[in-house]
Amino acid sequence: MQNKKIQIIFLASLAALLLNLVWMPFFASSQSTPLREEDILPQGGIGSTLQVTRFPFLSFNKIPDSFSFSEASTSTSEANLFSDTGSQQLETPRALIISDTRGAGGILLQASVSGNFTIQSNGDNPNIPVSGLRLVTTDRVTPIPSDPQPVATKNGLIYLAGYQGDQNIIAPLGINFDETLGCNSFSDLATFTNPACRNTVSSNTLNNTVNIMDGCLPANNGRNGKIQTGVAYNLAVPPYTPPGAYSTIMTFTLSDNTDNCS
Amino acid sequence: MNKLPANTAIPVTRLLSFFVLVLSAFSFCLPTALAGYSVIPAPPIEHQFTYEIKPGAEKSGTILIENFDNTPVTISLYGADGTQSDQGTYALTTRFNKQQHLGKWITISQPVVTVGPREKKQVDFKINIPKDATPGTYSGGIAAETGGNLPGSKQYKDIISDGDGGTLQLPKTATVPTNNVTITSRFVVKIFVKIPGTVTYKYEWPDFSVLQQKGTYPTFRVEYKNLGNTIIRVQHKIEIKGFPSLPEPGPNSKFKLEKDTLVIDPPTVTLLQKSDAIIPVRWDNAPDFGFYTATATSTFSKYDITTNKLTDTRTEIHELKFYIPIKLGSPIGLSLVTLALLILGSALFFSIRYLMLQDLIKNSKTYTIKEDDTLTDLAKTSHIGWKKLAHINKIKAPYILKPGQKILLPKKNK
Repeated sequence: MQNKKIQIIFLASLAALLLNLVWMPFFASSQSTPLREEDILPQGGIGSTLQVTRFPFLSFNKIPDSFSFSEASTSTSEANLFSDTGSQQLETPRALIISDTRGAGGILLQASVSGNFTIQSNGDNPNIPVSGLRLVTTDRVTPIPSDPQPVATKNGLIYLAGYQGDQNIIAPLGINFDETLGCNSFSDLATFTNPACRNTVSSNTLNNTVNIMDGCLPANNGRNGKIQTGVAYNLAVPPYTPPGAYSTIMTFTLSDNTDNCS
Repeated sequence: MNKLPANTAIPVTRLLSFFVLVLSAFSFCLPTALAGYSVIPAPPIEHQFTYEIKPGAEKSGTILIENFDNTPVTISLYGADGTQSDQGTYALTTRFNKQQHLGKWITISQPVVTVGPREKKQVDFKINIPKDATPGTYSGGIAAETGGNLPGSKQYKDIISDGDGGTLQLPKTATVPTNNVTITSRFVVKIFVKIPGTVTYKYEWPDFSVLQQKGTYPTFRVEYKNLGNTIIRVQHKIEIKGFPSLPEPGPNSKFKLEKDTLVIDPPTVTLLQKSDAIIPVRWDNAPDFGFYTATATSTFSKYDITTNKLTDTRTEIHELKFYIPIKLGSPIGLSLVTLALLILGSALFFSIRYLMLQDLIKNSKTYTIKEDDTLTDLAKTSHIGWKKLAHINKIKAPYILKPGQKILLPKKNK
């Protein structure tokens, strides 16, 4: 009985393997565009290799989830809302992961916002200025369960397992918690407003485009792997803001960094 | 020779089954390790497009979209103008901005494209330069965006209306209930276009100053303005020296100490035509106080997009003398405050003592020493200590009085 089960599993696995071997060349030959890089995928134990062609790429592996701030009561004073609670750790929904397999050139990851927070269906069209939306990043983000563990944590970024190449990407808005500076959690206002709590003094308000990762490399040098960060937000709601549900669209932009490379 | 018991021997078929099972599972996993999509210039172009196009002329190009996912992806493509981030790097306006130049001149053959699972698609675009376009170097690009904000879609309208794709009732209470932030992502393929004509290479460096705010390190503010129509790259560095001499920066510091000079070497700044950039440079771990001179050296170069060369390099130097005021909370500040309090306290003590002594002298009479008079007895009659009496009369040890000697004897306290 036991042997029969094993035989069934064996046959099923063999069929699966054969099916996959048939399917993979089809996948490879379905590329209609010129080839640039060859990845050799080992088929251990069979004694042959199968070449699957894939373009080197720069891609988002995960972007942070859309979210809503909690309710705020405004009257005569400004209200400050936070995307996260009073800890120094962000959860998976705030994770952002990019993949770079090009092995050549730099990366630039930026954030920008469509405009002020508005209520489109309200005739008065009140708004919350987007200059009150601030963003910080951190390497303290809970690893995504399906992803490999970090190989290195440097300058506010996590280089995930398998990463190869320079680990010199700058995270200008990376936060460094410091109780003496008033930034001790993701619900402390100083975490978002005190430039001394960040890697650089660059502005972190979203009325302009801000850099999240700035990794410049000359074209003959490159990276291969995944890089992760966590993103947290704070919104200042001005006094006397009319009641309503306000919204905006935040866009993370990924591009090849050729700006500052020497 | 000992033989293994029969029940511990692992059958070959079982091992083989296990091996094939693992292998088949692994082989299925390989293609699915990739996720998302990517957009690049179609080969043989690498990294970005650069063109030289005359006014009224047209050029075309092709981008390549690759979907790594097992599900189709619908991507919105649009042209956008180049702009600058707050850190002085290239950035692209969003679809919500009004495109002014290159973003307006780009036409995409398929503004919305669906790419099947693990499929690649090429999409053509054209750049039409208006006849009245002014010469210069323009930056912009093609953005490829997914998410709910495809123009004309229900999702797009919902995002615009409530940011979360759902029905939203506006509350009538005096509170702001929800602030929705919808997050999307996009790729950018950069495009640079040079419209031939007179090149104006003109810039200004209007500001080099230092800001010192409570609770943070001194921050240098460097402002550059590109007044011309070409791209300018600025390499800059700030050198600091002064008193007290600067300590060795930490192992993770971005700064270098060369002899007695601290060198801060920020990234290169790219100035697009008719743009300006304000670059803040923080002096991390600056000392608690001191007198320093900061020298900023900026090297401006004209960047030719077609040759990828820097030309017309010019260097300018600005010098700034400044001091870092002592922070009372710092160790050195606390030491100085303690010293100041000690000096002040001592001065106060000796002043009071001097005034009291003067008062005592003022209220004294001259007394001639008789036989058998002692300092102790005379002090008792004046109700003061004998040491104080000796001090008033500058009598030193061994405190011997001679008959006929005149001394000041304070009047008795009433």
